[in-house]
Amino acid sequence: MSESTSGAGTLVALLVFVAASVWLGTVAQRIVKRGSFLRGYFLGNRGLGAWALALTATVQSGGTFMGFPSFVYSHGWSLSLWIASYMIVPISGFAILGKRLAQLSRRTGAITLPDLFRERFASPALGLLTLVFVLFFMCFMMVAQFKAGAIVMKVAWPGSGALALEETTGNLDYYYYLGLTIFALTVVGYTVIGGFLAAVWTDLFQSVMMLVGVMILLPLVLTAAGGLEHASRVAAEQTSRAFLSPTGYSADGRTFLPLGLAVSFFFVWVYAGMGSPAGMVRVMASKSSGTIRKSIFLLAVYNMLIYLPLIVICICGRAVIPELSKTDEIIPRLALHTTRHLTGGPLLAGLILTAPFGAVMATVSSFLVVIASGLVRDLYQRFLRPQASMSEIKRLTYAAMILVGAVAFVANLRPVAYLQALVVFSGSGAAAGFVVPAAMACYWRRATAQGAFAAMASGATTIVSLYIAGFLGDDPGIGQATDFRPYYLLGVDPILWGLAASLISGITVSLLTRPPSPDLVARLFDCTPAALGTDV
Amino acid sequence: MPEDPIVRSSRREAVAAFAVWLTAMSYTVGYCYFYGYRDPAAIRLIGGVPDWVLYGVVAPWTVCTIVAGAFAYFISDADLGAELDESEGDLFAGDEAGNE
Repeated sequence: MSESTSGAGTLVALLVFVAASVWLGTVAQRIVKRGSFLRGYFLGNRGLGAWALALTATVQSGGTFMGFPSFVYSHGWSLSLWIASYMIVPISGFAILGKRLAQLSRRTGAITLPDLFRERFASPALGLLTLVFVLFFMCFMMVAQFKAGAIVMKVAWPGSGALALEETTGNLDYYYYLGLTIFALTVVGYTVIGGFLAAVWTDLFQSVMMLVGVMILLPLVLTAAGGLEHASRVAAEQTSRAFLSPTGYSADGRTFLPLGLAVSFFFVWVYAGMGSPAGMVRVMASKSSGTIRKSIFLLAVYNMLIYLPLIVICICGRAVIPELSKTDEIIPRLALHTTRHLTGGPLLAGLILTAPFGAVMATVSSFLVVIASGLVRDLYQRFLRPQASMSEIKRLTYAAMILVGAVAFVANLRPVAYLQALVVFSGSGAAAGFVVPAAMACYWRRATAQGAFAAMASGATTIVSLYIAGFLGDDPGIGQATDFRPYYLLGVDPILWGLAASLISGITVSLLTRPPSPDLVARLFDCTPAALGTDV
Repeated sequence: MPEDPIVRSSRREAVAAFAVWLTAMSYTVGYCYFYGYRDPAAIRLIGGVPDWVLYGVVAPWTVCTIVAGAFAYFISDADLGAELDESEGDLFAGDEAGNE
């Protein structure tokens, strides 16, 4: 197999993955049929186990997984500080809101995030605002992911001559459109078949594939680089000593990670994981509090086994394949380079390359479920036709998923240019919009619907405003080099300002408005007679 | 009725998790500020890893993984309660007028 292009092994591995995903969709469908359609299709009958919850609720999107190796290759050891907050994501992601959110969703019967806010605060207006923000932020992210999926498929196609997961809008040839079509049909197809569970199981599958890929690649790359010590020295000689520093090396002289952004990323990844609508729904779907508890440790071990080795792999990559012009190619290049002399090398390379494809598929399918549930449950059933029959809801759910998939497909005929930046924007926006209202919903009896409304609106609009200001303003020369950049007020990421605005307005407006109905609060915060009888 | 024990235990665990996040952030950023954000020529490699990464990121990451294990062991299990039946409709039917 050539080192510069993929072979049949890659395509075979991807097609096996696609077939396995569709099979998982059909298995999921059987389980969905056992209970109520809405609860089964959108929430998997609240049956998620520890492994499924741990490896699918807070792990970042395919875009992040593909962008991260490129960043390490380009900027060096700085990325260890950039991603360091993942050390705490398992604890913060599950222990701050998890158990209470799962309980609250059961007490209110909530199936979706808008459902939860609507019922907790007795406010249809708040439910509608939640839906608007869920659709806004998740549509951005999902459309961007479609492009990534199409490009991975193009990479896998023998003869396409492509190896990049690049973000430029160039090279949109026959293989790109073929990849887009196959990707869209597959991911929409199995998600329509199996709903939430299909999305979760394929997500779990890809998370395991990612770990397998990293574990295979790590010794191969370390050997090829002559050890980590040698790799770090060679990389620093190729670039500068800044490659070893937390500020990071940048070929264009920008400061990749100044101290303000280093602090910011302890907010970005932690709160983006906690505030992701797809992640919150998965916590709501967990089987028991024991499931949430075990997930904390499983995810902690998983994160440590993924991110630290991935940094080592890409630092070694700089020594093994120096001066790579398209840095997004680093993982595919390393996979092909280090397996080329091994028995079964092409299949092994294919196995490694399957991981980013699976990551994108899993992200898209989980977003499809959340968006479709918002349109059908929170808009159609709540506002337009409350008396709709279940068969009507079912038909509409399938139609909504196909429609959303079709819109994303059409949007990617001329794809967006800022995939990675859109991922950060969507994650920050959802975090600033939902984390504070969710914490108020879980723990503050005095919180009012108006307070939660203000918290959500101010957090999300702060993020959007700072991104608009950054897009229109001058490049400050820090962070990622992209036109779709935020305005770094006082040198920190917008998420800090969004969370602060959300917290201040949520508390202030709640205290200035009439307290919530004591009866409603008692039903959601106090023991039930049944619970008292059984000594919870 | 007294407050649900799950609300109390969840609140307690949330505060503990928040404290762990704050501690991890303060240590990591603090250590990296003092030992990483300096003249790059002064950065030493230990087994190929820059010293600030080893003590400022890898060490606390290992500690956090152990703490996560302790969290998983010590936080309390509880019955999350019965599901409100879909046929029961809106939880807040009747409350809306008083709250809006």
